[in-house]
Amino acid sequence: MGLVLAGGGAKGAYQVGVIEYLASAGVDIRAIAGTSIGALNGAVLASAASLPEGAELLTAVWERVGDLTGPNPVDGPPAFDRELTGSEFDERVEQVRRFGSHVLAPGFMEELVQTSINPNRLRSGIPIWVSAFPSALLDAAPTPVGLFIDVIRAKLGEPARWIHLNSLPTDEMYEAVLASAALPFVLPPRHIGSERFLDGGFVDNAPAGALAAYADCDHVIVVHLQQGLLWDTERHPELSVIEIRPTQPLASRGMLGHMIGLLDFSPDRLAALKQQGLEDAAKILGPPLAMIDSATQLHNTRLDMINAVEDLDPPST
Amino acid sequence: MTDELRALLRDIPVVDDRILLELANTLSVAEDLTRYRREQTVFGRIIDSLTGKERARELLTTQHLVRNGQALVSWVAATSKGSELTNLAVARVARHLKATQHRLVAAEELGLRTTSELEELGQLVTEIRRECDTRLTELEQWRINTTLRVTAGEMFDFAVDRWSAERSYTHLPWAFQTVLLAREIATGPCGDWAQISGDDSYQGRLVNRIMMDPRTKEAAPRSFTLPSLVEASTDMLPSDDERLMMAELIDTGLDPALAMPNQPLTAVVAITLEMSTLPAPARPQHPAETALALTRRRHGSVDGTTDAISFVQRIVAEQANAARSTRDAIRIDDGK
Repeated sequence: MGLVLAGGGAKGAYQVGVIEYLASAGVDIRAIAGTSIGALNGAVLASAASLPEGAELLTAVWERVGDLTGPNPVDGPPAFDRELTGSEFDERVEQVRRFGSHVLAPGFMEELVQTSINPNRLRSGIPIWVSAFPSALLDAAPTPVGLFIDVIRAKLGEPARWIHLNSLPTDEMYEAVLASAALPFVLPPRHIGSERFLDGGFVDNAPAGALAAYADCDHVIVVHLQQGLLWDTERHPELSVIEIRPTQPLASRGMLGHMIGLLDFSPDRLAALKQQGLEDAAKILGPPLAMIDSATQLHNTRLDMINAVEDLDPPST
Repeated sequence: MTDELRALLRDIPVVDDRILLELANTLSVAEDLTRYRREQTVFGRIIDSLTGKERARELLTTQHLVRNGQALVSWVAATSKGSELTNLAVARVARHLKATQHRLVAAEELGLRTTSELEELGQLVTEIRRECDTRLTELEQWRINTTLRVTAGEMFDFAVDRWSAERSYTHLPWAFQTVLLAREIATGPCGDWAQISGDDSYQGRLVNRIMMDPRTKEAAPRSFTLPSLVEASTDMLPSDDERLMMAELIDTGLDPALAMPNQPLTAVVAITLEMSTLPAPARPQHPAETALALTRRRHGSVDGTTDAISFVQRIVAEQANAARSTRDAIRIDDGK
């Protein structure tokens, strides 16, 4: 079984809940592909000795991030089923500013990546590919023109690069994860070798193609962080895919709600997202996993039945 | 026949995990897209219509529903084939059960027949055993009787030949030899056989043998009186001791319970012998006549005149009867 973790900033806590369900169901993950926050989650998971240990490590990482960013000033997680009202909007902007001052502070993401990922264990762990978009610009500082050029390139079909983390030196390993999460104008682009990379979510927010191309997986679980996505499994006909799409919105509606959703790392929200991920995974994966188990049992019982009937037949002379 | 089942198993479309995941995923994605479109704001819907995303979502939803239907058809086809396989196997099992049932009924019938035959055989064996027991008993009895008869014959010949050869009862008078020989034969195997078989013919043969012996003609050539024969015979014994010995030989003086019941002639002999040994003042002048008179008083009429053949016959018969009575008394005592 392969696992694809889509990008989505703070909504990545949802994926921790999904991974927790997979660990409890005993699913055997053989390969991982991720973009942005999915790349970070995937890297932590790939360096764990087992899926249950990976779920625990991820929970610890996200709780630490929540503690660092401080509690949400209003009661409970923000409403996700509608657009924000005026006062709610102001409060959210203030929260985002406060969150952003932590998460987007220089060195925070680097420190988070370096303390969360164990390079040595990752090298011998589950194979993982992270998606990053190779920028055409060579300048260190991104510019609107440069971003426009990259957008055009993306629209014209420039593909994202799938970077195999396990084979990289330590520094490049960290850079690759940071590159996958390098949201234009929010986080700086990253250099791997002589190339410069931006957030893979530009063109490939759910890099199942990496597993189709490089991994030996029969089935792939794709964990999206958005509803209503125009993502079609037919683009990878060689894979048998099951998608986990959130049954409830993970962020408030509208563009601003979407942006806040990316940057809201308040502990209450992270816990709520994780719980939703756990519940959605059980609802969506539970029945097919049970059906697969039943089908296997059915085939085995059919063989037993034929063998038993064969025992009844008189021996052929 | 089971090849038919295996061939059907091969024909069942493989419902691999891919079809099952397709069934689940297509429905889940269609549900997500439909939910998204349902909960979209007006503004969002307008923007998506303008950008073409609304149409794209509609198409994607439809495609997923179509693929869901296709996966469902594959699954139903496999399930139907699987049911066909199961039905065929159940039919096979039912046929086996029916065959087993028939075999059980046949075995039960066979068992009942065998039980009945075994019972008959048991009864037959019991009858045969009973017959064998009876036959063996009869054979054993025949063997015993034959042995007894042969022994009786041999002992008769032995005893009579020995007397004829003058090797028994020598020096005793002929009359007393006759009594003792008759007693020997009657109390031995001859008497036993005669009592068991009812065949008293030995008495006649004994009489003949005694009569054929030259000593008989010599001792009793013509008719004589009983007292004279007995008294002459008593006088021939030289001493009182010999007379007493003779008297004891015919059980006189023994405990009546042990003595053979006397018969008249034997009683005359016994009393004569006893009286002849009395001291002189008490001794009768003619003890035999006194004995005859006493015997007549006790046993009734007794012929005083007789001849050799009558004497021998009566002595032989008396001894035979006395021996028979003694045996009967012993059997009665043993029965107590």
